Amino acid sequence: MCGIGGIHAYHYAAAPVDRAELLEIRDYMQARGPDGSGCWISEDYKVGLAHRRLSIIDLSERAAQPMTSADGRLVITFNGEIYNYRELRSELEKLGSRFSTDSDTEVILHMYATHGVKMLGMLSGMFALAIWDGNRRATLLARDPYGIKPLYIADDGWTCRFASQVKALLTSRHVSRIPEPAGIAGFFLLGSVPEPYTLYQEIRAVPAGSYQWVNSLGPELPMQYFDIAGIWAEAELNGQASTANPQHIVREAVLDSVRRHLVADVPVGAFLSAGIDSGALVGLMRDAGQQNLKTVTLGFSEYRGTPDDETPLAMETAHQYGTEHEIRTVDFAEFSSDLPAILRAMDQPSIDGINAWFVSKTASEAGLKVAISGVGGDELFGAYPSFRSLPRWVRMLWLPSRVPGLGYFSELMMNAFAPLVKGMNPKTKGMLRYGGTYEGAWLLRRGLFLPGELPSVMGLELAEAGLQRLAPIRHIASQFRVQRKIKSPHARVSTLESALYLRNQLLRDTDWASMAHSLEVRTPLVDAVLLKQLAPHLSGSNTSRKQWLASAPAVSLPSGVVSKSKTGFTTPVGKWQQQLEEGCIAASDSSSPWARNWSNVVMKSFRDTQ
Amino acid sequence: MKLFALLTDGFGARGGIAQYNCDLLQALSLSPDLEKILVLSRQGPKVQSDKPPMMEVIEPKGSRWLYAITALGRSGQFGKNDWIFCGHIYMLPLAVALSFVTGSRVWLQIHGIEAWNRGNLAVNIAMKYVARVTAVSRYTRRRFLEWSSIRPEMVKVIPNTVDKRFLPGEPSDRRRFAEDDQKLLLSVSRLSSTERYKGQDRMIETLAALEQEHCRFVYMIAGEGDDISRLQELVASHHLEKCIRFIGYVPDEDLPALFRTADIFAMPSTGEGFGIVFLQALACGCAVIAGNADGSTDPLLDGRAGLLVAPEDKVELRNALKSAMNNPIDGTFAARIFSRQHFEAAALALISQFNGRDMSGMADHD
Repeated sequence: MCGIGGIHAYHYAAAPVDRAELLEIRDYMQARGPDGSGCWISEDYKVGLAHRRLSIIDLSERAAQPMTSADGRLVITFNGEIYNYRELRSELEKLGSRFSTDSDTEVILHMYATHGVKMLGMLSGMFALAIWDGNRRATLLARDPYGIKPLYIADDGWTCRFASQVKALLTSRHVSRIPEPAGIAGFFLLGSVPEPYTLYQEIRAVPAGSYQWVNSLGPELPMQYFDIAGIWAEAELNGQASTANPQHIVREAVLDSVRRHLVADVPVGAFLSAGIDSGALVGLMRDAGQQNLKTVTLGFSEYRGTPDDETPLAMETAHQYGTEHEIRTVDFAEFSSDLPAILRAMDQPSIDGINAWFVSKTASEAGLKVAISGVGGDELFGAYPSFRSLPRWVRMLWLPSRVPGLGYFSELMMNAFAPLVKGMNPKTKGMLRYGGTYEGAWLLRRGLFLPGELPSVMGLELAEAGLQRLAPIRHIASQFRVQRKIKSPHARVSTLESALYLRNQLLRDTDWASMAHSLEVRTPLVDAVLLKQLAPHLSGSNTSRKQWLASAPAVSLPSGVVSKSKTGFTTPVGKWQQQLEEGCIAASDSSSPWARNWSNVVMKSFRDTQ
Repeated sequence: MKLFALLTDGFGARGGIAQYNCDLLQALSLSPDLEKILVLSRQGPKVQSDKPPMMEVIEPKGSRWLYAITALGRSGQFGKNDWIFCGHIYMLPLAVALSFVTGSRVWLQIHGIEAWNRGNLAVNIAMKYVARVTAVSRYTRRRFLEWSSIRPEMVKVIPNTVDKRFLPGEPSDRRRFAEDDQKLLLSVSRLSSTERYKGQDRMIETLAALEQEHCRFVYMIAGEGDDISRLQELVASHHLEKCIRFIGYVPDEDLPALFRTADIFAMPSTGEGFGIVFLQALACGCAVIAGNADGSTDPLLDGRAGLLVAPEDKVELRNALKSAMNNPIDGTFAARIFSRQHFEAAALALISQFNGRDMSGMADHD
């Protein structure tokens, strides 16, 4: 896991690549790659690539980056892991490729030389990369299918700069700080900034599952090579898989994913909570032959002795699978002392990530360089309440929501009478207006604020501009934009949860929080191959299929873990936030005011550091 | 592939927009991808002599309705593989209406201040159907992207180019304007009350301070317009009549000689889309001072080719003027960078990209 950066001065009037600027972008990401660094600048100073290295596969200096192909035509800087690199390498060797390192980076170079951009679909793993193609005189930028690894570009019309972090790009005085209203509105609507937007107009994410060329005219439109909705649509087209034993299929598919995610030249540990996802993965790591497994669990002093305390059940799981287990308890004092560092490490505002910060800190302190996480299981197996509530809302509200003006009128009426109804969730006001479609219902379910509330949070002018540019409902619905419309409620909700919540919030938080501790987090349940294998078995389901995952390990999970109702990862951050006595916002009548208040604390810290 | 160019100012018309449009269309005429370019302008001479053979120029139509009817009448020869080039954002609704009739895609050219702020309702609606945009500068592109929802990848920068006539050379009649020990300062622009952003006021006030410091200079203000008398009064109020002269409108053909005569071209403007005059001045060997808050940063190559100042900051302007008087930067290399050769290559690369890929779906949310 690493940090990558680069400058492509593509326009004929652009200034040559400034080495000092490139190194500043690179070295902002020092924590992402403490084991080494490199920089390559083309002879004509039109292109510069940079890299910070966290050595996981092929620890030798030969595998340092940026890496140049033997003929000098291609140069790559790459962040991530390719889990099937050994299989790809042996296939390439059969075709005549000769390798000088044992790294996955060199495999990507040969894959590109042999297959061109089609190779992206053949890579199994998480990645963000830039390849300078000297023949084509263009830079290829690409991200993995789910967008586990980040990549941002800042294009001013003459020069395109790119990096793993928004904040790394901001070290350049040439990158504009003009705010992006869509990014700010997106954050207040959803709790994280929806890609491709960022807080800045000039900086955008290379979309997940996409690649983008930068040629003499600048960045071209991103081209998507993978989309989640497409996989579900394909599964529906081929009909639901009929198999007597789907549980067996799930075990084999997840075990295969876990096996692939264990490829490393350093020990691989695991985050362990009281849930099924992480527990099952630890069991499957054992089944895959992983020895001397180290696991870490996070506890909060406030939760001791309450059902929210994950440590007792996690301990049971650890005993069950014989792992070397570490529990770390975090309290308010540590939170408040870490908060400045948390906000500094947070690359884009997020209302979450505190858990990811502390569990990464724990793993790093335990000496781990790589940890497996169970993130993504809820989105795949349908464990969130949204998998039940969204189809129900859409069924109930489909007709009334289509009566012209009714939704708007009901929102107006509820706004008028809201002060009389004590404890009403502010999002209730939007039920009739938004609840009749999956995209609207998802906004209600996941939303932090509703669009109508934004003017009071971020000011009328900015809110109007943000809503106009983001078009939130269309933005959410755009995740369904595939050749064939997906029908199954499970597939629809899973698409939205994976392409929006998982991608923009959970995976992004995992990235900045783990990278701040020089830790690589791997996610076997967020995997394109796994999705393709399981979609036919899951698309028709109308209940959570977590039990299939729970039964996957050869040695069963502790019964307490399996029977425990889904509580989710929670933190006492709301309480802590109140203790900090940070700024307060208008929407004090929210059912979850801490998240709303916290969003303002986070945004304020970003404004202050601009 | 054919191109229907809708222009405000066409071949033979005055001003930066007309110049740019002519340069661009002439560059495009070299493209093997284009079989025909049809040009319809609002203004310009009736007879076109220097046009390429594959270009047909319709007689300019000054009346808005006559222009629209003529455009509609001539649109029959265009189809879905063709492009409508809209040379000014005000004409976008018409260009989009024609694209509905013909099925052609719309390519919008943006120049400067007209594209910096949100357009009227018709322009906003029409913007959703634009398939490509080219901007003359990074600044114009950035300002345009601030209010439009077009994907940034679809807005490319093709800057102005400079004519070969603009070359360094011996000043012809320098002594007519200044003595040997005086630095000759120059600005060239319209002197319109609607274009006060050009910065002559700030120049006059700053030079008054420099005059107090016994700096030896003459400042020539070229251009005509309704703001001259106000500027003359300002000069008089500072008692600078001897060292600030209004030399009136200078025809395009006389500009190279004028630039060669001057030592410093200074115009701390805040409203330049690109500022072709800066590039012309650089090409002729002037030291150039410009503002850093608009498109002027492009011809000055971010300060590599000349001095950039915060245009409203008179201290910074004064220091820049003194620096240019004592240690002038040679920015003539800017002319090589903005050469016609580079300009044509970019225009041709763009048109071949148009020909190669479907550019539909350009708004962030279609």
